[in-house]
Amino acid sequence: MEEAQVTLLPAVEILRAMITNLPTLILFTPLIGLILLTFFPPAKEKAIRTFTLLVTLVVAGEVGYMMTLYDYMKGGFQREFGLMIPWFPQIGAYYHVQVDGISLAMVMLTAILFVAAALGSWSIHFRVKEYSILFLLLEMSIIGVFISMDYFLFFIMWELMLVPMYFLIGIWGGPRRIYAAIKFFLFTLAGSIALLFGILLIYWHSGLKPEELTFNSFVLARTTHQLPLSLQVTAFFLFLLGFGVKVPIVPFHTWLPDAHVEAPTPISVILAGLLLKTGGYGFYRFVFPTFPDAVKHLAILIALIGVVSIVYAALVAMAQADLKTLIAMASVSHMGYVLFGLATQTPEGASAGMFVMVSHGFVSGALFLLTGVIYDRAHTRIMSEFGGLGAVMSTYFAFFGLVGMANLALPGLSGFWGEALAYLGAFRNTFYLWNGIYTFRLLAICAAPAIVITAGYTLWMLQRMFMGPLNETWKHLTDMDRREVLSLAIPSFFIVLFGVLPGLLTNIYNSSLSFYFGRLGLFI
Amino acid sequence: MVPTEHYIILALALFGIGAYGFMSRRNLITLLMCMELMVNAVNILLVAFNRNWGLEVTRGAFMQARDVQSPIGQIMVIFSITIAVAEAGIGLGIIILLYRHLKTAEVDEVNWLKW
Amino acid sequence: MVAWLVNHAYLIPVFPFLAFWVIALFSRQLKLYSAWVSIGSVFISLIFSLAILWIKIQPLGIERVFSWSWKFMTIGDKVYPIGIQIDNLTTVMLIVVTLVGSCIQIYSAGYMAGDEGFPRYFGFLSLFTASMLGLVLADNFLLLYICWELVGFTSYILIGFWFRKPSAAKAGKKAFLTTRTGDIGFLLGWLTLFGFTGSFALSDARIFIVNHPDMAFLWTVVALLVFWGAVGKSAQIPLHVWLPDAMEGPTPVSALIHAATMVAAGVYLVARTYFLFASTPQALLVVAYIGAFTGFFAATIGMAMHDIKRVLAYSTISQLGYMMAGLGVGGYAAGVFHLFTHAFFKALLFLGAGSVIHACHTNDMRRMGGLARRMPTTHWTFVFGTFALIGIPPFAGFFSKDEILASAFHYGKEHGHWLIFLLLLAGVFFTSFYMFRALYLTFWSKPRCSHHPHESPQVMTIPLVILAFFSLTLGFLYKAFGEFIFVSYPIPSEEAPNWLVMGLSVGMALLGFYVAYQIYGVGAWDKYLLRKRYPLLERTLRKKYFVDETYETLITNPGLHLSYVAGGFDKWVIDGIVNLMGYLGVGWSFFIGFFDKSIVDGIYNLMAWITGQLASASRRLQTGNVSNYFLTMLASIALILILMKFLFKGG
Repeated sequence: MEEAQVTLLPAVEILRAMITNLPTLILFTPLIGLILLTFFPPAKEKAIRTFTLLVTLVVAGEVGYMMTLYDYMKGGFQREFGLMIPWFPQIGAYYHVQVDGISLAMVMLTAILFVAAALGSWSIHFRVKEYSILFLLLEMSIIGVFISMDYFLFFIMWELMLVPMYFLIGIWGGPRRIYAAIKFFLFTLAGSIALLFGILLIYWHSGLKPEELTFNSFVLARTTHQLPLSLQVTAFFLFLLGFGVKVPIVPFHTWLPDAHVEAPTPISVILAGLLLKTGGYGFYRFVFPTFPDAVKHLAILIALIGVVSIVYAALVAMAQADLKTLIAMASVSHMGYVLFGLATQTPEGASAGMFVMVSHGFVSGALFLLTGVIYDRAHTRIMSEFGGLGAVMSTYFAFFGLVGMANLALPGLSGFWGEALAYLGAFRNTFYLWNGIYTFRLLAICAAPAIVITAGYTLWMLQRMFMGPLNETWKHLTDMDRREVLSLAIPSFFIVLFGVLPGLLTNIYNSSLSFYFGRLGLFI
Repeated sequence: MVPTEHYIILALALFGIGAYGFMSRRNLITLLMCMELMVNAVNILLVAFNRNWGLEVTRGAFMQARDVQSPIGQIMVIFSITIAVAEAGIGLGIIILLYRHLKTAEVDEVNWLKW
Repeated sequence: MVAWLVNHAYLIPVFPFLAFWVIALFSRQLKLYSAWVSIGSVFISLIFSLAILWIKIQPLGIERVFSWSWKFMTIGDKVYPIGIQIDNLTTVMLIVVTLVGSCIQIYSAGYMAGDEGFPRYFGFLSLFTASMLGLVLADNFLLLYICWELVGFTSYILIGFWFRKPSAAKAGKKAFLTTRTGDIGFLLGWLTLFGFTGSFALSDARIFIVNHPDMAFLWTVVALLVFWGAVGKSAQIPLHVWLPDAMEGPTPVSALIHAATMVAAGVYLVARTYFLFASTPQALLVVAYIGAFTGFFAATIGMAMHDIKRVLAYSTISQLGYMMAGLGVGGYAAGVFHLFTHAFFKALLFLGAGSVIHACHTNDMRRMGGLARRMPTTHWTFVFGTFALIGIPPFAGFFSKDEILASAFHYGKEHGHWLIFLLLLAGVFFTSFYMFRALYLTFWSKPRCSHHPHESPQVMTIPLVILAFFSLTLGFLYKAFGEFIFVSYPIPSEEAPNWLVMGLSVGMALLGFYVAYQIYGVGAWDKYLLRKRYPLLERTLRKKYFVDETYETLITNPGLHLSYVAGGFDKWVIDGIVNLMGYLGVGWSFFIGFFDKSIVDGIYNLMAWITGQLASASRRLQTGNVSNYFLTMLASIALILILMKFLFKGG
């Protein structure tokens, strides 16, 4: 592994390094935008919105530029995309950002979804300035989560995500927003505490000299390997809880429907599209590389959690009447594939998890944007109250059909590849508990009914909303306007692109993934 | 040369007169004058001690040692006088204001700050 | 030119795919021209296919296999290629899809004229064509599965084309879910093979299976899983329920997707993975029995239907059963040949039915009649199709069906299992009966139409004539076809024509005609005889053996209930626990709050009170007299100096 360069530089040099270092620049761009935004007069809503959109576009441009520079064939941590500056050296905390293929895919998703969400934020009319400031703070913290390699910095970013999210749900949310916001905050905070304990556990037991103690995740990954298994397993479970709440895994998922339902549309997009991915990303970046031994022993447990999430959440989704709850439960179901794929410990499975995360980011983001479109017009989300909308909103129907099909994993759209790769991984894994019964294949077979259930609730949703005779109440509804089409065209474009050419996406993270996991002997 | 003890005795006497006056008299202007007496007692002490102990050894331009009479005591005295003057000015101003309000300059009448 | 076309034959599915995107993105601009885009693309594909056929029928060309492969995805350090290949089986399917597809698309331009969803229709038709072509071209399971799902999707969207009709929306959903239930089997089947070979390629799987005859049990399981997928797609018992409902879609769609091509994909899948089935006789037997039962039962249901399209739908199910049975009993060429001919004459029948529906504005045969004179072209082509379907020599169906029956007969002779042959033979009788019943009710009886029907425009009748021509002539190719397919999968078929079987099948067909003639032609026998004599039997037939009802009670409703239970569980139990913890937390915090306020805070308040008391006692010292303060000050300084003198030595 190429370690990130350690710089001990005077302040001016640090500042220079921060500007020339792309990940840092990307991290601080929303912050600068946020500070500039405070000077805007609150009444100029249009200017504020345009500026917010501009900032997200700048971030997207920077990410795009970084993606042109990254060497995908080499993969892994490349020197020019890392920066390590002493921050609180007495306890071994560094400002350490680094981008590899895994981070790059996630940062790309973040940048794109924030542009779409910024476009979707046009429907917010209440306290636009405060909203935009929190929105940009959210973008910064999520990017920070995806590029921090130091546990200290990571944890700060991880907690920082909650703050804007809490306010965004609690102020701009639906009728039960206070309940949802508090539930969300407490739930994830409880998970964070477990995570914090886990981090401190491996920090104090790293076996390093007191002056060498560090929060560097690479170093801690190395030292944790030498710990006794019991300690590793304990820390692993703390991490599992910490990241699992965010993913979320059944039974820690109940914050999600409430938060999704109550959050305003663009924030639901971010919640489902990105916040859940931070949990999945944590498994990729921290859990699996740090606890390979524990993972090998507990892979079946992780896979089981994944399968239960997949099937159970799909069933629950079928029973929902509210469109947003349905999509929220569908998210739980799909995120199960991340854990399931990862638990198979095969290149296919690991790839599946990444693919599901990126693809589901676009799909669920688009679904929530679509929900917002209808909610802005009809002020209800109960599916059975609609009917025959396809007749009056044909563009909307087309987009909903496309994204819905991606949700039920139709080949040719991005949703398919994640699930297909997960099943491939499960069938590649030849681990068995007793003779001839391949555990992971059995689990895959258990997960397979979810394919039909997913198709069932998606089609039923489409049928209840768009098909059949037109409900006279909605005769006056107008089709999507140009801004809404644009905001949906962004995720839809990527859904189709990665669906037709999945190699484009796998190439981004493939080398990093095999380098990262293969080095640890995780692939069997 | 007059011995330093004499200055000390003079200063103590002045201070004692000032302190007694400050405690026993009631007219504010008299109090102010007593304060000046006490301050001047301290000034005399400063100058006297400076003469007694203020000899310093410093290095000249070519690093040769030479004795220098330190001016610190005098400087302090000038500071002190300046401050005393300012104090007297403010004090008299306060007294005049008090007199205008109360038609008196007796210190016993001005006890609003008690308790 | 031909060489260039063949060298770039991988472009075949690309044209319809591009057509789909062009129509999807520019439907508002294209409007009616979208039909031209779609038809043009399928025509280009047809030219490519014909070029391939041309090369194949050259001397020595028959053995040639064209294949292309691309690096598709890199996972870990493994590069997964995805490729297409054109062997003889693929060539046959290409011809079917593009030729029948072209005819049906031209027909559609007339049939769908004036529909507001005209561009949408052609867009999805193009997408279907593209995915169907991809399906037959795939040389690996992955691409096969992708296209397999995509044709299912396009089928869904085209069944629900008139989505404002609730029945159409429901039928589309049912079709998609039912076929997807089958797809799971296919998916798990090929994934198992992938698990062993680590490759998607069919050829690798074939080699692996041939080299591992010891794992025969596993191959049986895998074969049955793959067959389960075929059962779903080809609407075999027990997953046949979606196809009759699928008739809610526009009739040309029924012709293309639910008669000629997509439903035949299941048969094609079995033919394509025949190496898998051939390794296990048990799996083949299952295929044969399922096919034979489907062939028989679907034909019996077909007799009781009043909707002309449903009659044809059950006929399709039944004929697909014949194909499956043909493959199952080892008549590889026979099964594929029947697929080939069936595509033409069943498409013809559907298009004819569409023409009739177009004229009468109803699907119900009881409200048609006497159309023979008013719609002569439709009538004659429909008769051609009927003859081909029931196997009157020399129509195409006669040859193909006869080959299947002969294979089943041969199988019965060698392995027992005569039931297969008997079911298939009985099916011929029912087929003949319901087809002549349909002919009598629609064309030959007294007019019962509410208004005056007239012949369809030429854009619709010309495809009918073309298809009728093929229905008449294709049968004579049976010898050449057998040789052609033999290259693809060398399995010896019945050599000499089996006159006994031939006679039996033609006899059965004529018997069916006779019964239909007696009932509907001259009215000699009572039409309601069955209902009067055996009401239960009649009801069973009319209700399609109650399969839908059974599934509703046994699978759909419990599934839905399970989901409601899960939803309730999630809402009340899991979320309840969370909320309970919340309430407990709040309650505990109220207790703590009380404790805090009364006891902890009490201590602090006490301390503050004591301080206050002390302060008010000591404030008397503030006399407000400057002289007092000064005295105190002097005294204090003196005291401090004295203390310093005594406490600190040398102070």
